[in-house]
Amino acid sequence: MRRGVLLLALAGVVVASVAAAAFVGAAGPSGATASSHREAPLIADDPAVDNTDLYAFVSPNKPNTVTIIANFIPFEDPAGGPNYYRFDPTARYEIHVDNDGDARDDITYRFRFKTTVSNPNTFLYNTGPITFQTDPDLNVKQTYSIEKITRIGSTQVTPTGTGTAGGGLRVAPANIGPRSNPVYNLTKGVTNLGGDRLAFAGPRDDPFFFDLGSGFDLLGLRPFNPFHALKPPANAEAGVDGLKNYNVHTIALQVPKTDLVQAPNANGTIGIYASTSRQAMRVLNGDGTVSNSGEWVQVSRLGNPLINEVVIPIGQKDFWNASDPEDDEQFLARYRSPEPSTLLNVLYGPPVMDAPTTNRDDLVAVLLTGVPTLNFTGNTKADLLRLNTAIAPTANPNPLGVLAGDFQGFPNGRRLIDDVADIEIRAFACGYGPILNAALGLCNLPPNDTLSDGVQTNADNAFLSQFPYAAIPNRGYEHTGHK
Amino acid sequence: MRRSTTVLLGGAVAVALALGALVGGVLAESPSAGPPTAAPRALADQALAGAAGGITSTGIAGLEAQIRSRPGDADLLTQLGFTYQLRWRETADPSYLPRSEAALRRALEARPNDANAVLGLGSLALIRHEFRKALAYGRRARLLLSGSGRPYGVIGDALVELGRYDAAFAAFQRMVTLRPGLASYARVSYARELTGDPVGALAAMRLAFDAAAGQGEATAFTLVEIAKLELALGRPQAATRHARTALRIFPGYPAARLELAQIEAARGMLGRALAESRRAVDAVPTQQAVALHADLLERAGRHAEARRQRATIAVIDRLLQANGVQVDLESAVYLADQRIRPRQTVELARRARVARPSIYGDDALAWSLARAGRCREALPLARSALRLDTKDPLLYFHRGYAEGCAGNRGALREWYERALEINPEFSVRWAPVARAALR
Repeated sequence: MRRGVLLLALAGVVVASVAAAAFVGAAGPSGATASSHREAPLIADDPAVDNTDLYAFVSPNKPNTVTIIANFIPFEDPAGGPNYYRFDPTARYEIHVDNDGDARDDITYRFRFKTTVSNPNTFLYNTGPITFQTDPDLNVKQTYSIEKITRIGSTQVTPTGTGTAGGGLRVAPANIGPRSNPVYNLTKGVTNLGGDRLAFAGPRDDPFFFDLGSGFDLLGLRPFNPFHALKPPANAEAGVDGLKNYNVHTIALQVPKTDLVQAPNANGTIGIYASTSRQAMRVLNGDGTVSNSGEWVQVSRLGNPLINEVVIPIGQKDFWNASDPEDDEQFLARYRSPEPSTLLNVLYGPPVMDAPTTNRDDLVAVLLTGVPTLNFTGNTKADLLRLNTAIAPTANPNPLGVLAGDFQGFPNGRRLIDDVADIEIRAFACGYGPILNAALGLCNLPPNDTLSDGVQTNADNAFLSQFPYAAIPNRGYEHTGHK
Repeated sequence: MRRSTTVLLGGAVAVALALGALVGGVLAESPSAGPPTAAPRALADQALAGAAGGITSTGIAGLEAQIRSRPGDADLLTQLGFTYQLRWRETADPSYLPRSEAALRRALEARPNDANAVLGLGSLALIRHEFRKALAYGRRARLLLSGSGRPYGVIGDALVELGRYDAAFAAFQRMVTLRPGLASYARVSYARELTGDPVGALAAMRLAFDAAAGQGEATAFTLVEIAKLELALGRPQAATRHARTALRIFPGYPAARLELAQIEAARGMLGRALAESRRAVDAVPTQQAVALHADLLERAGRHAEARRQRATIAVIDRLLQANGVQVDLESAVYLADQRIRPRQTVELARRARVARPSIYGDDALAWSLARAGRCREALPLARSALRLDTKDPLLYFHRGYAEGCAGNRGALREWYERALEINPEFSVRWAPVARAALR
């Protein structure tokens, strides 16, 4: 959702996201006018519950487990006042797992949060150095609980929780500066739940990388400037990571594979998506009383990267976000006749080849059913991130994943290093490369298998070799702003 | 004496300069409005950079620069149209409104039936108090955005001001069912407030606050609304704390400055209220801030200064009207307060009520009729203004005034007592009048 800019670039449709529909302010600060006319914001952009990315991989340092990372709150400015960014305590943050191919939830991990302000009379996030998580100097604290919900019921998996939603586990603090955080331990905020299970929630460097600035400008791929229909710029340039220096809020879980795959198997292919929900309510009850309880409504979801941005048209984005992956057949035409492929054809000339723009069953396989012999889960079409847990992690992962013959990477699950933007651009352009063309018959029109935004790595803090793998948050103190 | 003269001048100068900016040109000259409103704009930019990040951190100038190189990009134009509206929320500078309209219209030319541009024009019509137009845009957007809650915000807001409350609340219900969140919770809160349930309104606005995390202006908005509700529930300290927090989150937020002044006034701390209202006027001379400041000066016996302040209100109104904002209703209430040209004020209120047949439209006409001595005509309208059981002490006071004017002395006392019960200082100008009448 956050990368509406991409959507602009790739699909040529409006960005419901970042600012466009963001602030449909009903009216002004009133200041000027009516005390009688309420001016509530009318916001489409909803960062606190906005899923930005989902990752799932067999843990490289603990191959009997799977790690799932879901990110929220796009474009967090590290210096923007850490108290701005927090999980919404009234929302549900969930990771859903289907292990039998019907696209319905077999296992759901539900994260709920609680905010505690120690001293409401100061608005400082911390009142002294934060040396440990229970530090009384940490003025604004968040805690959370995780509930595991299965088809046969729900169990609380918060060991120290009080049983109430939001209690028990501690959210990692913000990384403010050398005075507030003399040390920011790499694994600060990781909780051991026992039995090879780890959990994390808190701010992290946004691991996603993409050239937003050029992509925003009519699907510009800087290395391919010479072949773009519109010039200048005419010369090839290096890509620029538009996500550099931004943070996100991360929830992460590491659990034994056997917690996720269909029993009694040791391995299997699972389909995963993340979502957020908020509670509806009665505006007014008939009897004049009010109540705040209502249905929980899904407000954002994410399985494969960039679907909402490039596949789903503007008029359907809100509807798509509220719908269940198991009903994704209704969006099938958007995958079989993808707008990004049409746009690539229009915007790029020789030697870039025109890609087919209809009957793209290759995209249906990659994004909706899984690829046969790799991570196929059946004919039910659903936007899920599919991970075949039987494929062991490699010591030398390739960011191009399956396209480079590294079957442990995207679109078999997704690792932090995977260059999903390049992979998807090549997929839309029918540039799957010689390996997949030979192995699976996926289309390959060279040189489309070399298309790239020119950004191949996350240039921020280094990823970790252990859970939660995502890099520590960029520190506000060093932050110099964005272009 | 000297100080507030300076303040007045500062306000007048700002208004005049803003007018200049307006005349200076609309969309084409992008960063043109530069000097006059540079200060609040810089503040807003700063706060936004932290709060919203992303596109807004590149700011209006960045968007305008992009549009210069891609003048037909509907998405950028829509985005710019919304960003101008956000700036209006942040700065109360109405010269952003014609720019917003120009950008959104260009977006629709580039891509007819762009759902977001339609929604943007609906939102703009609400800002300008063109509620029938807003309703039409909202309905058009609904057709283009099936399954989305957003059009129901525009539709519901318009229906509220058109006095069609059942339909409005149904729209809000649809909105919160489709998309619970800041925008819908805030509207649920307003529906509850209108129907006389400040406790339920506060509960919904607290949810809106939680949902606003990461958005500076929206967070500040919810905090100011919470402050108002806390005040209405007789908790001025909590109200002050929330309004101050809003200013910390969004330095210079005009609505928060005004609210602080109103809270101090409601607590009977007139000296502090005067200081706060002066700061509010100094920061952004909005109609409400100037009117409050003038009332406080009057109450302090500083009549000449009050008169000078009031002189700027007409300028502000003209500035708003020049930018397409209909202010008939607000002007009618203000003129009735001052009892300036009562007959014309009644006609103004009548026109306002045709455009906005809401409880506040009824109230404006009732109040101007009563102030013109036309008591029998006023009374049914004053009753109608309370048809939702809204717990608004000013509506109670106007009702009591109309009752008294019609010779119902007992009813006058009853309604004045109810107004003072909610808040003994419900209005700088009228609370003392109510108290005196009850003695």
